Amino acid sequence: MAGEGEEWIVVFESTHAALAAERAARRAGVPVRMSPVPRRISTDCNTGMRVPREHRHGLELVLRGANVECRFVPLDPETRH
Amino acid sequence: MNIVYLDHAATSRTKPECVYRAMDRFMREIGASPGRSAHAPGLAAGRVVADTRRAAAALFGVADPARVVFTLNCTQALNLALRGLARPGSDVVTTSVEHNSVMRPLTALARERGLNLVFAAADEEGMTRPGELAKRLTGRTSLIVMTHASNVTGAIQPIDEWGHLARERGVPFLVDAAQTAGCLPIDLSRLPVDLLAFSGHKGLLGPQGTGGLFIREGFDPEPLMHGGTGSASSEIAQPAWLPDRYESGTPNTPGLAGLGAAIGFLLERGVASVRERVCAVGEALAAGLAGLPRVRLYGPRGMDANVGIFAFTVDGADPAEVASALETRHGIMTRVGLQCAPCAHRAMGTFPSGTIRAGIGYGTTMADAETLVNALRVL
Ligand SMILES: Cc1ncc(COP(=O)(O)O)c(C=O)c1O
Repeated sequence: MAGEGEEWIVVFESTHAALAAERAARRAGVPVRMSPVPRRISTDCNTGMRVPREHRHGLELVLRGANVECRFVPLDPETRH
Repeated sequence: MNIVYLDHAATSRTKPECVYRAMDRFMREIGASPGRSAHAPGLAAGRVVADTRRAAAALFGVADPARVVFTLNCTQALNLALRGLARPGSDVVTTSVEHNSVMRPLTALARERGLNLVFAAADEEGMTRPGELAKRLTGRTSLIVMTHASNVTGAIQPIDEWGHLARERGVPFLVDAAQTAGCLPIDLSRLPVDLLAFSGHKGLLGPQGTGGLFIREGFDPEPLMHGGTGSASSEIAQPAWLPDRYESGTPNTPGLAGLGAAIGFLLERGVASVRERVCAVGEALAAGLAGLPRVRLYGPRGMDANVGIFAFTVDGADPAEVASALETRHGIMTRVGLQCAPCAHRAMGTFPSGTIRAGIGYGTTMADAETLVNALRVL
């Protein structure tokens, strides 16, 4: 089991935004993994993006550069699976 | 007998090979609903739609792909824009050469919302001059809508000038690009057009059941349909952001896969280079038709003013009989009648029997043009 904040999930308004973010992240070489968003984090867009803690800040910069609206949420051990 | 397909203005028939492959691949290998589930095929389907949106945005010079929303055809896009923007009791200015996909929604809106419809007249070639617009704008005008090219005569309309006038007067400007998207270069980073409706299945070379609407930032039409979008699922109100606001329900993803491949093909070839070929065939066809004494041509002949549509009648012959003979004796497919644009024919004096329309496009050859001219010569 990983500790708190080992992995973060990025949540978006829409799939359009999620996929634009994925593309920007891949282009920038940030290791992300698309995944469903746990219900207790958001019931908005189903599609979120997981990122290891050490890449979180880099990803924030990339997504800001790509003009993607999003929210970063730490995944605690109970939500991880 | 070989088929000579001259009905590109209705829909393009032979598509680039990559279109068939993209649709087949989507159906067999992806097959999931886009934007709904975060499993692998669901994400792959979402990427297909996003790729097509990005390609369409690139083709039209749109910086933010989210401003391009997909519809089932150009008609749906036009209904969305017209219903979404026409203010009750206001004036809507349009032209006398519009297709029924503009005329009928406007007619219905005139009844439902008390709109006053104002028509700018076209000249004998089917062109609507900007002066015709200027004198019809009033303080009550809530929307200007016009086709980019007439589907009856092929006449390319001066949307640039109309758009500048609309901007000066602060009136939203909607363009029906059914006949021009993919056929003429359209650069929305430069053109003063606020909303642009297009078909995916004509000049863009995609499959039927595809189309879309560009909505410039600052314009917020009411959605035509409300429903599930895969986003904001806890809310029962329609999302406010694009493209979700206007894309409720499962889209035509196989069609969008094909459309994406088609636009990719056009981006690679360049619309201008596809156009160059069409122009060469068009000039030859116009010259050939002009040399036939019984054939009467309507609309602009020069390809600088014509998107690739040749409307004609044959002296002393019913257009339907001519079209039928062209098909049965020569394998030539044309479109006969009013082409869903009765007002354009009234203005041209060809109502109600209409014209024979030869619409050329991607893949039309010089030999096709010759076949038509020779067939008419021996008719
Ligand atoms: C000028 C014009 N507008 C709109 C349309 C409607 O396009 P669609 O068949 O994609 O709805 C057409 C073609 O049918 C057309 O020629």
